Amino acid sequence: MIELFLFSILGALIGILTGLIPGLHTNNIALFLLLFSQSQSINFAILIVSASIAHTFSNIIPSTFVGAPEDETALLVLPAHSMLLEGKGYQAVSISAISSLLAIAFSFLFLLPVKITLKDFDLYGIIEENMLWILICISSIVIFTSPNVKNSIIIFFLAGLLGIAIIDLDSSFLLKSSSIFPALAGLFGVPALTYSYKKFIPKQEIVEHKRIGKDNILAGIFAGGIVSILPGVSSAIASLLALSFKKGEKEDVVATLSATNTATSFFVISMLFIIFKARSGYAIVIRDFVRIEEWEHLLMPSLLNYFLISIIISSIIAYYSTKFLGKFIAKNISTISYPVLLRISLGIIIFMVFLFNGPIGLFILLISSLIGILCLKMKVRRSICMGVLLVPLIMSYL
Amino acid sequence: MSNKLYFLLAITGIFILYFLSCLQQPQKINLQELHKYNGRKVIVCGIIKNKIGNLLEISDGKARAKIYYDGNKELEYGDEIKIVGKIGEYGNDFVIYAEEVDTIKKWDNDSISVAYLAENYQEFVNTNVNVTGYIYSAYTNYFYLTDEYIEYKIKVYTNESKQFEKGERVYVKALFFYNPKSFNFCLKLCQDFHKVGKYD
Repeated sequence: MIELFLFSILGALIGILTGLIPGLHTNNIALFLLLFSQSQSINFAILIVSASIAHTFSNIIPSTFVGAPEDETALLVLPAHSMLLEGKGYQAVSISAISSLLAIAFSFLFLLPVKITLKDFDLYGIIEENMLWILICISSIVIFTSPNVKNSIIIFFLAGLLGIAIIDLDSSFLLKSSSIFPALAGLFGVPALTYSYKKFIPKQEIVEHKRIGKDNILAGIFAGGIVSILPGVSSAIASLLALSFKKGEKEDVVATLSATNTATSFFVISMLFIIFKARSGYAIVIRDFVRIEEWEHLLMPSLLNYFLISIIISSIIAYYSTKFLGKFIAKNISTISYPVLLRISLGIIIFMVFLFNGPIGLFILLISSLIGILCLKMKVRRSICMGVLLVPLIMSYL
Repeated sequence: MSNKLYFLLAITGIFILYFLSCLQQPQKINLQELHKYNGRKVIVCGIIKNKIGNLLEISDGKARAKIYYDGNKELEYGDEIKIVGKIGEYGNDFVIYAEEVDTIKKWDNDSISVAYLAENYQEFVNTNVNVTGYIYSAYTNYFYLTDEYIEYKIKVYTNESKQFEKGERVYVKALFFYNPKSFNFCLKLCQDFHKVGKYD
């Protein structure tokens, strides 16, 4: 039992760290750990579970204060960084942290009903059969609900072509990485940083979050749950799905997307036991470390119980750590001039892209930045750029 | 810069990236790493251990993998092959959907000794082998093959009507088979390309 606590705490700390570094993901850490542990070990599995959950709490910090997105936070960067420029950077972090914590709490409540629905009513089979239509629906909603449909279609397919071009391109450099990272950094991060009109970052209000709407959390859980079932569908798509159900003010968007991100991680781990499939790199590594028992009856397998305890410990540590770090950065960030921050942020993005993806990654960053800037100039909603993930995914189902 | 210029530059860049993607050689990976490359085109090598219809099972000594390939009629158990294909999921397993399969080495290219077969049996179970040895004793429909020091002995089932003399040096191209009912290993000549030949 002591080992469970220790590895959960260690995992939480690792996850918080990976969340603070754009481009570094729990998948990288999981694969790294696989090199060091050749034997089966529940402790390493608990460490990865804990890290994956904590990561989804702290990754709001680079999104808000640096404007550097990852796969899961691509859509989150826009409202979160925008709140920073309104002096509400800490509020974005606080809303995100509590939304992630609530997502964990609600996900626990929904775990058994989800298991019954997926297995006993074969909802999994129905969703899998109709995934192509679900994706086409999401794409259509995103395009046809924008003010400028014609421009949205152009940007969607341009981003889609980019996605198709890079899907098989191995751009790994010093560390194993997907080509999607520089693409999303260019589509969502760089335009926001280069086109900002602000000259300074206002003093940040250190106020706690306002009341979070239950519907934001539920939309996130629903989207995260669906996406955790399906192969190849990332939490970025979950974010898009969640926003189709629930729009609103920036604060609501931050809450929904943070809940989606965390709920996706929670259900990816649960799906190992429910449908016996691994839907993420770290879930596949967990399966290598321990023998997963399918959850067939009402009582949970004991390993799932350990994982859930680890998730609770990690969530609590990550919640308070994220708020603490967010407060610290928010108090000090207005002392940096915004143009300097922009340059630092751009420098961090370029450095991380080069580290993970090398010269090819930098080229992808350049091309995707052109598309992202074109999106801004054509006054198209930035979520349209998710075509970079949606179009290749739709093609794979055809 | 005008919107048209951004658009043209973006399209040009996309074409360059697509061209790079086509030029890029797929990565060569171990069979243990399939899960890391799901959805990607890779190169793998291994020895054919099993063949059912269009499904092959290969092993590289550390792990096994399933390959789906249409043109596997000329591939035989024990052949060492190189596969270029895309990794996908089939049920709970990862499968490689092969686009190209090249034979690196046919199972009967090199001959191994009876002693080597005995000490590395795990590598060869249920594959075709080309074994060199000496006739220990011969009977109707079977004989015993041994090594030069008469340390190891294996039963060889044959339909051939050739007569063998004790001590004759021969090569046997046959299936190395494990019979679970009797808990023993043997060599079986059960295909047209299986044979026993004498060395001069």
